[in-house]
Amino acid sequence: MRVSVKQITMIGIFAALSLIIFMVEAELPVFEGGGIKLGLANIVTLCAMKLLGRKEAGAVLAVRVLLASVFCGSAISLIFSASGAFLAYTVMCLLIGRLDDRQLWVVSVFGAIGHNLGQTFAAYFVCGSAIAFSMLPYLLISAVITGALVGIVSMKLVSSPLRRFSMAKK
Amino acid sequence: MKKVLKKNIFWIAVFSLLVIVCLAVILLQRFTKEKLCAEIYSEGKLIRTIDDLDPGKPYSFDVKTSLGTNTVRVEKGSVSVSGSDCKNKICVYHGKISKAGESIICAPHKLIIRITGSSGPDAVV
Ligand SMILES: [Zn+2]
Repeated sequence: MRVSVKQITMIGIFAALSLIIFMVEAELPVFEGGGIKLGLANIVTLCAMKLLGRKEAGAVLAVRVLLASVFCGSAISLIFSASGAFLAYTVMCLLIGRLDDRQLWVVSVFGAIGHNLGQTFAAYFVCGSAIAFSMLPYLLISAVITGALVGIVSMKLVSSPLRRFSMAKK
Repeated sequence: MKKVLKKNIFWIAVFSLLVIVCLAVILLQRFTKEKLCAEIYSEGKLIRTIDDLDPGKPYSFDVKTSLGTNTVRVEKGSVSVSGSDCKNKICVYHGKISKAGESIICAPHKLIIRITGSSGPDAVV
């Protein structure tokens, strides 16, 4: 697969956007770092998946996770966010082709659930304790709520004038 | 359009069910245990328990590990981290926890403070 200049540019723009949103959200001391988060940066991942394609969205996500941990994280937070992001990405990749555009919010909810499950597993391995799993019901509820919100925003964005930048093959 | 609505309703039902199951699990967790106490884990190992979360007088103590020190405060049925020499201070910002199943995690220090048990039906939201 050849990577075009346009692809690289778009991946860069999306990754930068995602990083900004992620870092702004990380500054809000509302929720615990390893736990509940709004996952606003996932809006960018979802839009990238719809407008650019799955591989490009994966690149956007990888760049964001790596740079975020360079700018404001530690090795441990990298493990947490990477495992969350990886599981979310896998789940969304599997679902996005199977559900139509109007069900993007469903993809988003499953992505959020995947993200929180990934973080739970990371907490299990890092902290070496099953304690992490007692958080699971709380994390699942928050995933449904935040995932739906993120999904609805993404659907609005994908159908907005932004879609002119679309590179995904129909 | 109608098909979209139908699909949306289906997924809303699925996710609502998931939320209800989670709520049931949370409530069950609170009902099944009688007393509220707290456990402190360092790197996965239980290093200290707090038996009474509602002592007559609030008190604090330091949890020292090779990774750093956290000051834990116990008052009026709640536990909080009042001070820490960790990098991000997320554990301090977390504030008080007072319900079974809640926990404060200090990732830099690999420290988890978790409340177990239930203080009775009046604790249920
Ligand atoms: Zn801390």
